[in-house]
Amino acid sequence: MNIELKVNGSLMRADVDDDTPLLWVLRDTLKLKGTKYGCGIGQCGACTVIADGEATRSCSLAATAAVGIEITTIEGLSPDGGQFVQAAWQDHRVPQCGYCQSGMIMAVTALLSKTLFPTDDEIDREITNICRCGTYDRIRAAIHAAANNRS
Amino acid sequence: MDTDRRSVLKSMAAVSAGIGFPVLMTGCGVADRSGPSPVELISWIVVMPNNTVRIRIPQSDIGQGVITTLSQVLAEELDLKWSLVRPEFFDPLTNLKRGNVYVYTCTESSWSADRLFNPMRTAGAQIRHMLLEAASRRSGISIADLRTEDSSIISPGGGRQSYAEVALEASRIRPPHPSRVRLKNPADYRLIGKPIKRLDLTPKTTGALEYGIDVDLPGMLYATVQQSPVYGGKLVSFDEKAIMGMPGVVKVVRIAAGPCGLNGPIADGGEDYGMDDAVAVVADSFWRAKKALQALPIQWEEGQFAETSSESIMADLGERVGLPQPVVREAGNFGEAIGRAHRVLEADYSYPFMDAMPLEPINCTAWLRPDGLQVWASTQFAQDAHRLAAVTAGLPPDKVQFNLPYAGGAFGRRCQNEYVSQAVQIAKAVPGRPIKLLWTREEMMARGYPPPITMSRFKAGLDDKGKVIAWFNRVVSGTAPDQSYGPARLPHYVPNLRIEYARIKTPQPFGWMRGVAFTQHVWMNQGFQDELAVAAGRDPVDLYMELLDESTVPVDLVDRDVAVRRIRHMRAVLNRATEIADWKQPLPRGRGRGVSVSDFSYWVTYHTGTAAAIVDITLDGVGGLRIDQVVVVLNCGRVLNPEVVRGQVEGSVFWAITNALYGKITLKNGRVVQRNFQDHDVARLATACRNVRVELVESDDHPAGVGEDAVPIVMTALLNAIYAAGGPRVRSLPLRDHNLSFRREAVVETNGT
Ligand code: FES
Ligand code: FES
Repeated sequence: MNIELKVNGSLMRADVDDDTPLLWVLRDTLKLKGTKYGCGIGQCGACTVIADGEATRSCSLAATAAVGIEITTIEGLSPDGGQFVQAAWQDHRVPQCGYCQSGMIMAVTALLSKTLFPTDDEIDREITNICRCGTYDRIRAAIHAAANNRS
Repeated sequence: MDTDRRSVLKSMAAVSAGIGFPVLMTGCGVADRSGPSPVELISWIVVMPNNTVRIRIPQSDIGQGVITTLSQVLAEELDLKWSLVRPEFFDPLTNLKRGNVYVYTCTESSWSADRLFNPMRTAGAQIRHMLLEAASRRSGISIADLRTEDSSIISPGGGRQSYAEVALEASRIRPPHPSRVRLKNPADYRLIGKPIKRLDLTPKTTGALEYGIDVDLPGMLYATVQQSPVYGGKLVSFDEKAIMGMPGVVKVVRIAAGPCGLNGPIADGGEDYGMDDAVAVVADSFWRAKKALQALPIQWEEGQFAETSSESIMADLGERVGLPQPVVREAGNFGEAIGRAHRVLEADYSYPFMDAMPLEPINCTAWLRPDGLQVWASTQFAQDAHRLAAVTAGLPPDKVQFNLPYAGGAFGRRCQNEYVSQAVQIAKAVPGRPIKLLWTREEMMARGYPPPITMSRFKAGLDDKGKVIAWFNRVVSGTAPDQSYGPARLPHYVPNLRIEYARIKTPQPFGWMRGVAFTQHVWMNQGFQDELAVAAGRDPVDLYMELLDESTVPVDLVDRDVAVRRIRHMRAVLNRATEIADWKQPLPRGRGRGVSVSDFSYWVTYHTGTAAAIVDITLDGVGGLRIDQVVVVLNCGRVLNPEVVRGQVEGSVFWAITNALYGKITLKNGRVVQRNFQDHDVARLATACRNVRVELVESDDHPAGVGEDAVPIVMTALLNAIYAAGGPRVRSLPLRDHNLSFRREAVVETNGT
């Protein structure tokens, strides 16, 4: 079926099967490849996007259910990596392979939009994404720095 | 990000996305006389007309940062201006044609820094000389009066010529013999050893970096694969008619079993490195291919492992560990010494199958055209993948262009290249169309390459002063290359010892998972040594120090000097770790501290670092564990980039935590039970330690690998800390299978004090 999605502020059309997860529409139809596939079952968070302000695992949301929802992907944060969470990630040199980091940055952006200064326990609860390279220490430091430095 | 860097990353992406083949991959100094052109200099660099320099990186970047650190090495000797450096991945075909000019291309065993430090410094110095000579010829000023700085040649009067201006001339000059170039004095380094930001940092925060999974080509089809669910099984048949009517389905392809690679470390295990039969569905989208494959009826002949399970393997190992096995090392007289020991301890340790599980699922894109084959795969071993692709396609290697994108983690899993063979087999079935093969996570976990499942039996004797006088260790492991050095080549000195080692065949092929078999044996040995220390009422640090005795290294040992130096390093990092962690400071009830020290290079001829770890933990008494602090001290020789090295150590810490807490793959009826992260958790922020302290020892030694050193010691220190905190003695993994309540006697002890 033909659907119209609102992604990063633009209306985009896609022809999809009813059950196609949003992840694959973003990646393979709309060519927004910053959003990654890691598990396909909502476990790893590599596919995290922001849907109407909420961090959402796009592998577990049918594209048809995303119609009418405001979707933001990593590409929608800034043209050049200047958004405050991205900047904190660069300052703290968080990425190793980098594969998990789009999802991390989206999840953290959503968290910081609601909780101005999350505690370590809140971070543990809210940011459940997987990083196999083990950048967790730097992620935590970068979240606090982003919270403190946002303009 | 500056626009300059962005445009290069874009052009790197254009190359890897296969819009035409990369420029100037063949022929030195080929240039168009009508205007400035890129100029290649001795295979390692291309000087662009705008004076940026492309450095060929002959390794895969799997997150360990070689694209940056190796660029630092070459740029240092060549005096490149860092903002003009543009790394790109090497091309295996060119490397093959030129007789392996890049020296060492397999990205494994934490070897990149060790193996490429000298060749890349030398190449930089050679190219610098050629540029100087060209500038000298042009200006008439002698080389001795010229100097280089910031990608330019400076004459005595202060005049500057950019490298780009003299590059074409330089390309016609014979490179000086490597033995004739003088390398810089390390005191003058401005790039090596500096905490330079990774060149790929920004695109790794914007989603712009292209991994293998992101390759996108016009008219591309998508494929996904189901391999024999039982290791070693054979494909009997499938009913393609059942799915051909499903939307978007293009083809069902039978994939034949074969090797996972053709050369390098993979050849070591012979037949065990096999790729099994598989079926692929090709469709116009990944989702449709996946759905159709799920609906496809497939008949398998399950083969010899259909009844094999982890329990049956453990029972087999348990039986064998009770029987004499081949002796791989003997010293003194174990039987006599154990007989007179004041105290004798025995324990069995075991290690399960594990899985590396990099976050980017396995994928490969292949495109068979009348003029040749193009392949994209983020492998650790592109040279091997290139050859395997050519053999699979039945084409001469020079008809195969291989593109190496970034990898979303690898950890040893991408040493095997079976997915490249699969993608080429699929591409042959749909000639003219590019296909992207992507495995699901479930398929990836079903087909991992574990370190060997292992049982290890220890028996040791202490004299009346608590000194270890007798040591016996019998190891029986599953499928693996001969790794008897693991238990046999102990840095620890015990006068009377006997080591036995045997292997049995287990279903999965072996894999070089981060930390490989060192992790098993460091943990088992030092876990048992910790038991000895406890039994003798001794501080484990004192016991380790006593066992690490350079004066007892056998005089007939071939690399005696190395062994002695390594023991010194081990003692030094252990000492330093105890200072940082305040080792002697007693901890309150429920808290514990464990320690471990190791050096991979002592065991085999790797060149990796020496490291010690101390881990502090808290047990809540009802099963809960918190890791309070991890201290790691690492001596890895010269540090190329401290921030990158720290990242590798931090990553190893969390790798070890995952292994300890969750690491276990189980077989049932020849099949892997854990199929996705809901069956096999990994460390996350909530379980990760919040206080990781890494100290790097300053050293002028040749740089050593840093990707794995911390894995075994952190795991060992963590497991020892659990006992120290009053928890159980952990002799099998993972921790989630253990009850972490306090031991009975620990409760009594604590109550009594
Ligand atoms: S791919 Fe969506 S959570 Fe893992
Ligand atoms: S940086 Fe590699 S998975 Fe997180």
